[in-house]
Amino acid sequence: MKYRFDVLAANHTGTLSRIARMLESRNHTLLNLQSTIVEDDVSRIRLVVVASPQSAEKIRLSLHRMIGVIEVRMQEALEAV
Amino acid sequence: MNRSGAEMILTALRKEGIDTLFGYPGGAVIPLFDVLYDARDVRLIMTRHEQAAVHAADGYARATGKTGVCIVTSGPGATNTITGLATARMDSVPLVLISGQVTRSLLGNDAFQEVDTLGITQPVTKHNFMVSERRDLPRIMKEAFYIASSGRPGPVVVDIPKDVQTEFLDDEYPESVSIRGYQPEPEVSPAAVQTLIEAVGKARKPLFFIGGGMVISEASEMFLHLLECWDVPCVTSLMGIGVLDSRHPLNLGMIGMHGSIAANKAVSECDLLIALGVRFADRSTGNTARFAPKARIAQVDIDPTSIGKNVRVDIPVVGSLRSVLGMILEKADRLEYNDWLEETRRFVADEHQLKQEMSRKGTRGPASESLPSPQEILRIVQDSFPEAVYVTEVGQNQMWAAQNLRFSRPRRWLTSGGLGTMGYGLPAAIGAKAAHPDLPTVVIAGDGSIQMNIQELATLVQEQIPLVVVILNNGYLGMVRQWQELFAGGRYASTCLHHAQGCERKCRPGMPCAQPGLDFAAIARAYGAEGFSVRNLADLKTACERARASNRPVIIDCAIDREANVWPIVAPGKGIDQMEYQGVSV
Repeated sequence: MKYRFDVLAANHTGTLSRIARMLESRNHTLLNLQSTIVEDDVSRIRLVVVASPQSAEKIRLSLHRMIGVIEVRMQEALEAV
Repeated sequence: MNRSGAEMILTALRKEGIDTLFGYPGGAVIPLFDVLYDARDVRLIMTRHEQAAVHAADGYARATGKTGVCIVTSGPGATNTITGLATARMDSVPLVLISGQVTRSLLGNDAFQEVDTLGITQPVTKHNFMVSERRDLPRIMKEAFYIASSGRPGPVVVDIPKDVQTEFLDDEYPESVSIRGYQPEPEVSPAAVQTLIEAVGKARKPLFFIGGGMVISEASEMFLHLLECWDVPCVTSLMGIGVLDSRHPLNLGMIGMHGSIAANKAVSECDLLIALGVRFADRSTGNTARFAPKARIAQVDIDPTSIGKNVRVDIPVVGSLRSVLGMILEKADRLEYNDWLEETRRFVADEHQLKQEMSRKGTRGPASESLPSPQEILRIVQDSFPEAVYVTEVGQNQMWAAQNLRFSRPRRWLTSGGLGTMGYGLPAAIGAKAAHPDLPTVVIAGDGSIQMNIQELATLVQEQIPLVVVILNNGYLGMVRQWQELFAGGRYASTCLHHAQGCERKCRPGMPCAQPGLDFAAIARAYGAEGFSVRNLADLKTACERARASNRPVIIDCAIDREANVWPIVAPGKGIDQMEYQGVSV
């Protein structure tokens, strides 16, 4: 299944690579990755990933645990945006 | 106050209450070492390898609960720390590593001793920073110490370019810290705790499974109070050893691949497993399909990603153990499980009887010379050093130590659990001894693992740190050899550590070997330490007495049966209810 994650994160050196590396360590590839500045020093990072529901939940928790991540929203994505 | 970046780092260390550092100098940290030169209130222990500096800071942290700090230079200095960081990450050890970096104008130029420290250390740290502006330095140092020690602790790297260390700025170290989105101590759900309490009330065969999280969160005493209300037997993980006295009647021992038969049986028979600060590592669970098949599983952990990661969890409770145990204690009524306790006592008695029968039979024909067993050696060592910090290397030595040493409190048993790092023991013991100079510190090592950081004997001698290193010397990488014997057709590929002159290096089970091994006592003496080689228990006792009286580091090299195995064992892929003891299913 495809899942979309909307992540609000501090726009610091290493944030994006930390997220990419976490997905890599779980053997997931990205279908889509966008990063936009939404306010001073904060980016919204949108990821679309193919994962089982269990793996998606693990990704959500891992994103949530990451230092610099402020908020994580996950939803099933009907199509890759 | 106007000060250089290096002076600000020293200020940060002082403000964080750090009085002991471990490190190794180099080009990119000369300004930092320069300010430490005059700092009489901060002791810097220089190791002989950066990996050892991280392990030493790790040992210091595990022995005290405080954050360990180390300082290394850029490039190879930083890359040498990776094993140490990964070790600390796996076992949730609070560490701050300060690494020097090349001057900012050279970043990305393949400068001398330049490496992408941030990129390389990311997967093995809880978090990492590069300080690209001098004005960010105090905030980042404050955040680094906060992140390392809060929530589920872990190692944090702060990479600091050399010109940031020398740049002056008029600023102060912050008093407080706040990181947006970082919630180290999640709020505990009272409903989840209530569900857990009700489940214990309904259970007929509840069992506690306690792990390293109990040590980290300093929750052992609260747990002992809980055991006064709930008469529930306990098993531990490797990292949970010491939380509950090894001789406590409710303590059934460690579970897992080399766990006690009684503990593994209890997991298989219980109807409620209450996991406190464990992560259900594969070495603990064996085949998860066969793990605790009759039980509902409750898990309390501060890290939500640890809950239900490896086994199904029916009652998840996210929160610090201190908070959760506090909430349980407020409501806990007296609960007794006499039939179940009787059953678990039988497991222990059966195991004891089995071991006695097996030891009468012997493991494998008469040995050419009757060398003491690892069990006998460990008993004598612990009789000589009853109140000591024990630090292990990794392999058979570690498992024999876990099975045979007895502990009455936490933070006296330091071992590399998750990563299984050979070479951890000796340097970690330096940190432990630096933290507790009055406590004897004993390293239990194998002849393979001790050589991974044996250069640290030089640190011990230079710093006049008296440690006792007991080498269980079988001339093999014993645990790998044991697996080759049991699971790889007895082909001992590259596990022999003896000299190989004129030898085809095709070792097989039971094959006699006339080749000499290393003379560790001579190595010890060459470094300026004391060394003893022993082949019997009387000589071991004498060596321990000499070690107790000595103010120098001591190596006691104990010859053991070359092919002694660790029993019991759960073969890979098997459930923990399928144990073998000396080749017999039990």
